[in-house]
Amino acid sequence: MSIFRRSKKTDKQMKTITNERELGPSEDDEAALSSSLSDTISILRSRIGLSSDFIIRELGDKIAISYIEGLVDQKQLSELIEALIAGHAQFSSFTHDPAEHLKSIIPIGGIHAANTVGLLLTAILSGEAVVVIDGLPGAITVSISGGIRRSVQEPSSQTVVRGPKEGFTEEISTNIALLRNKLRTPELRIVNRTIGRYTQTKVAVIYIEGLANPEVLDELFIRLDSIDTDSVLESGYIEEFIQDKTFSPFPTMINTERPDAIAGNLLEGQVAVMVDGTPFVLVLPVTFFKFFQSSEDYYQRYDITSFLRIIRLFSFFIALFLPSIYIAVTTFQQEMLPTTLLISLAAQREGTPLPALLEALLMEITFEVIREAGVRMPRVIGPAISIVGALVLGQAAVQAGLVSGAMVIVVSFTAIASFVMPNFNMASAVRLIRFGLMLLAGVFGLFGILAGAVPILVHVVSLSSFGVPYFTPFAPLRFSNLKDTVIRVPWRAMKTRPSSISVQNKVRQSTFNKRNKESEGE
Amino acid sequence: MGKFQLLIVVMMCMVLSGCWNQTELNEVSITSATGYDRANGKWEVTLQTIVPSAMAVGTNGGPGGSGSAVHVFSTKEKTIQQALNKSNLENSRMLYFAHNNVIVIGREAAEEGINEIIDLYLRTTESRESVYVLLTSTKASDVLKDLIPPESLPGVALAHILQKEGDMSGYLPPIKMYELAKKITSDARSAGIPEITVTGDGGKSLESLDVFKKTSSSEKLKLSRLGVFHGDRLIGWMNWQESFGISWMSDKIKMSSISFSCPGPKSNNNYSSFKIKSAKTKVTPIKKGNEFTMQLKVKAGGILTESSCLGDFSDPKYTREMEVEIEKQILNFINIGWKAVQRLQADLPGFAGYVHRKYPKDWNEMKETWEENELGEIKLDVHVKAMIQHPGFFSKVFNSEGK
Repeated sequence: MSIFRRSKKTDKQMKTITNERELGPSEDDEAALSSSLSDTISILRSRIGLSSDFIIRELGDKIAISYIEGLVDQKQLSELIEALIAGHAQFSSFTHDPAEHLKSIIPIGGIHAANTVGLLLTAILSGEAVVVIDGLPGAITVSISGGIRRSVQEPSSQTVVRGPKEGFTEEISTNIALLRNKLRTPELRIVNRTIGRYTQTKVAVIYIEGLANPEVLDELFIRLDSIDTDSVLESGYIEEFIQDKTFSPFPTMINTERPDAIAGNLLEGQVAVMVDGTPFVLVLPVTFFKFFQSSEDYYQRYDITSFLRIIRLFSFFIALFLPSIYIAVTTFQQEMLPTTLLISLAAQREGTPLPALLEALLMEITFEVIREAGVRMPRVIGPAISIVGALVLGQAAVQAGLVSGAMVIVVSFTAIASFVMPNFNMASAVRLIRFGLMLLAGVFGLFGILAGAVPILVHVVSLSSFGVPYFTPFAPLRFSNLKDTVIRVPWRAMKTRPSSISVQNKVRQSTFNKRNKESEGE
Repeated sequence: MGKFQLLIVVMMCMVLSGCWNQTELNEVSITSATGYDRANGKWEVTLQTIVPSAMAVGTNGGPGGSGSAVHVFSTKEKTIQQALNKSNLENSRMLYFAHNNVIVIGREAAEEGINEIIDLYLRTTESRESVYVLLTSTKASDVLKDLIPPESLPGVALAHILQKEGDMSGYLPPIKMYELAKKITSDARSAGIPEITVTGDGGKSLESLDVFKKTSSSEKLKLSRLGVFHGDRLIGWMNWQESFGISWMSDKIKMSSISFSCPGPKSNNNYSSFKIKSAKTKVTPIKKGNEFTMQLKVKAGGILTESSCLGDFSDPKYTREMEVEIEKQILNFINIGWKAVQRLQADLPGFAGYVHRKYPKDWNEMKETWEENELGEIKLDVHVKAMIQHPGFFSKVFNSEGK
């Protein structure tokens, strides 16, 4: 029995998608190639068109080589051409497998035979060279892809103080290599899919055999295979297609550009989805508390980590509730404040023209605008925005009497608190919900906040990520999993993997004893 | 109906009904103290409201406003609520009582009865029954107009004085509105309310901010006596010694200080002081024939903070003698208090409750005449046990050879 529920609606949607399949760019991809060199060349010419970077080079009248300039490595290309010219004579004489023959004469791996137009096009467009020999059916593809790519750098979105400084790049093979370096086990499985009719993007599903839940894998492959879209330019496309619930601000997948984070997640039995062309790799299934964990948590001492996690959860609540609580308490439930605090707040509010709700909304929106500007604008203008932001949000607004000083403190603390969360997805969710809560607080006071918070909690508890309840291990309560949620226990106590995610091979390590080795020797 | 339509309906409800009891902070007038006086059969309510702009902190630090932090005004009407309502004729803001720290009851009101005030506090939600109650022998409106340097808010200052006094000395134990209501409806039917007076030559110097510019003022707001209530009426006064004795009897002492003379011959004026850190009083009524004896077991522990006694404090025998002196002092206070109880026929220690609980049948027979007859005939059997927990940093009087 499957743990996944899929409504009839999605089935119907999938059917319509299959009906639209004809709209794609492929026409006669399945057609076999003829043995005539000129025929093959003309087919390629007609399909790829007169693009200036598409090159067909005829070596004599028997052999042609075709590739896309910029996608191939120039050095390997010249080696290939040299070998082809040198072995020119032999090609005409033999009749059996030409690919096998080519393998024996050139020192390049990745040589395959291609029989259909579709395979040939895919090979050319993904940076391989195609060798066509007159009189032989089909063509030979040689993988000499290269060209410009970014080197492995420190991840810019998820930084750590202690821990590996390498981050994923846009190149999927580099990324897989980075992961292989960390997990030297034959059980590491990488299953490829190609998604996107125009982009033909490589999507790799990565997991550790024996740790990952087979049911999750099956469901993931079903969902991935159901995607029929024209393009996948970033893992965000995949995330939106395969997530459990569309209408939810809460992310049900984590993205990270840190190989060590992915390795750690795979070892807990999670599955990673890597998309070519982006350094952001998806991890699933995840629970709510995963969003408050940073890979650094496992490199630092457990007590500090536990403290930091509590700080992060605290910041989560601050970022979610602080402005609305401020609005509610200052406009409805003034009796909740200590007298002196109330008086100092009242003193600051003297002469401010706007009601607290509008004031808070104004400041929050101003902050969001400044934040967005900070992300989008050219790096060169960076300092300008911070000056304007600090002046507009802070001093000037207070001095002009537009907003009260306390409101500036509330808004800035909220803003800073929302950046504490290690995962930006969750921070965005919080930002969105915050505005709703502020409106509720402005209308109903603390009662309104509660009326907003309870449905949010209900929603979060009802969510699931690939069959794993989102709020585990708290709802449903699983005591053994609590050791790595709000707090982190020392490594020696982390004997089992989280049982909500990994269903098989639960034991992580044997009981640690400083004299383990010695006792074995006895 | 789809989810989306439902959402729209909910949103519309919010917009249409919303904000009905919203009050911005600059629309409320926060009262820090309230006074109740009675004149010509009318209630005169005095409100001490906070002026937030005077409390604003300027950019250069320190209190920015130059004006007074409170504004005081009075209104008169047949009922308290109507008097409050009449304040709308002169006050620009909505009265807000949740942060009212203290209420002051004028003498005339206290003598006529305070049931109406208690009723108002218990009945409405916005006024808190945890407010401190004070009594004044003059008019409450005069007290509320006075400032208490260095505090800018006299109402808050009064509450702090009461709280601190109750915690540190216990001479005139503070009482809150709900405690007052409980006490005057209990078996003992009596309660004590501290009195606040303006000492000095009767000038109005405390009503002006000028008092902050002087180092000392000829006038002062000060707790002076304990007003004794029987039922809802003021029936008499007690001085602080009598009140302190009552505090010992009714287990109100948290911390205090007692000065005692040194053991041995009493010719010299050598005193020491004992700082009480913990005190406990246990009351047990004992019936012998038709007579009731209240057995009080008082325990007090503390430290020696000051001494001019010539003995050796490291000698347990000598400290025991000192403890006996302390015990005598406490016993003395209790006796003074007990005499006051009998003089006023007001059961402030609440002995009625103990008797009721232990001898319910006897209580039913005498509850009508408790104060007039039985209370006066009760015998006290007091056992005081004081303990000097340590004598401080040295074990003899400072410079004992030099004497």
